[in-house]
Amino acid sequence: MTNDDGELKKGSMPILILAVLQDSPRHGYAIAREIERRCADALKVGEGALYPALRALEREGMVESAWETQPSGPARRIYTLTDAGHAKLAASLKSWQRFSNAVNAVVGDTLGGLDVQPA
Amino acid sequence: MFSPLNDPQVEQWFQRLNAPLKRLPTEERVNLHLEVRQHLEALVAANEELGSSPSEAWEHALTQFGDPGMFGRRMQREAATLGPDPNRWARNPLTAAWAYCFVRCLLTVGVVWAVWMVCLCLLCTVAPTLPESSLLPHLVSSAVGGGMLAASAFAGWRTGRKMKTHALAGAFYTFLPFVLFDGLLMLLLDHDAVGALSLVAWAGLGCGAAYLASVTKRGWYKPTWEDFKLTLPKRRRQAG
Repeated sequence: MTNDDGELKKGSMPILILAVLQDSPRHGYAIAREIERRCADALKVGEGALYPALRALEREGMVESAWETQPSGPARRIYTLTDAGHAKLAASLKSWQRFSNAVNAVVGDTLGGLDVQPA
Repeated sequence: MFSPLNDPQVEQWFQRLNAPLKRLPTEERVNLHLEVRQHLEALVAANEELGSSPSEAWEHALTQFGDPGMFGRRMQREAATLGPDPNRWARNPLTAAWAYCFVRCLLTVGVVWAVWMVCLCLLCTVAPTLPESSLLPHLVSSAVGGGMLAASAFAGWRTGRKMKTHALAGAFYTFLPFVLFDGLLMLLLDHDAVGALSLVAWAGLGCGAAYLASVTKRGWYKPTWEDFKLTLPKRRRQAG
């Protein structure tokens, strides 16, 4: 896989963050690792892109953060999905599904010929 | 024994990170610094589990995190889109109320001046002998001054909207040169130094008020009675 394949496109980071936070609140490092785990390391989450995206989501009210003291170790900044974030995620997933279906409908045969499975 | 605190590479990395973050509010900068350090330490721990030595683990972690200068600039840009902290008003209730009243007064004076000018025009229409009277110089100066005020205020208003600062602040900033010019004329022609200085002082005060007014950026802040109380701001949730 080339770097271009693994690099997350700028616009796709928010939806991935929201999807990961839907299950449970997490801190920044855990968000990055969970995204990579779910896609079996097919996507590389650049930390340099993660935190600006988190700040943007926080500014838009999609996530909220709080410093929480851990049982062991220092306090960590934990990000939680808000109600607005849940709604935004649902809308984004619908939009993504439509887009994905449309692209697959166009390139599906070509992908089959290349022996590559569509996402 | 490797220690990241003594490692020049780690120190240099954090220096490059901190450079663009200097404009961030202190609290935000400290929190971000702490968050990044914890993230790096988690990366280091993961690398060490994979068999790296502490120094290698730190090196890999810093590489994985990416260019600190670029990261800092991105965070700075993101913080800039937030605009000034709206809680700033709550932390400065007296200055906020003063600025609000001052800018409102400025607007009111402008409206009163415009109404007065219209009245003079009507008076001129109904009194044809006015051109020969002593009112004419006042009428002319009012018309010229009013036109300048209206034009500068309108230009500043548009500029304020375009620059996403408060439109009223933009109007005042544009109006400021006219006030200073008037003060200069007063000094040179009338030799009225006190009058000129008072104009400049008023202009400076108004400029400060307009600056404070501009901190809201998104929408006009309306002070409440609570703002007049000298109370300490609510503390945000702090680390640890």
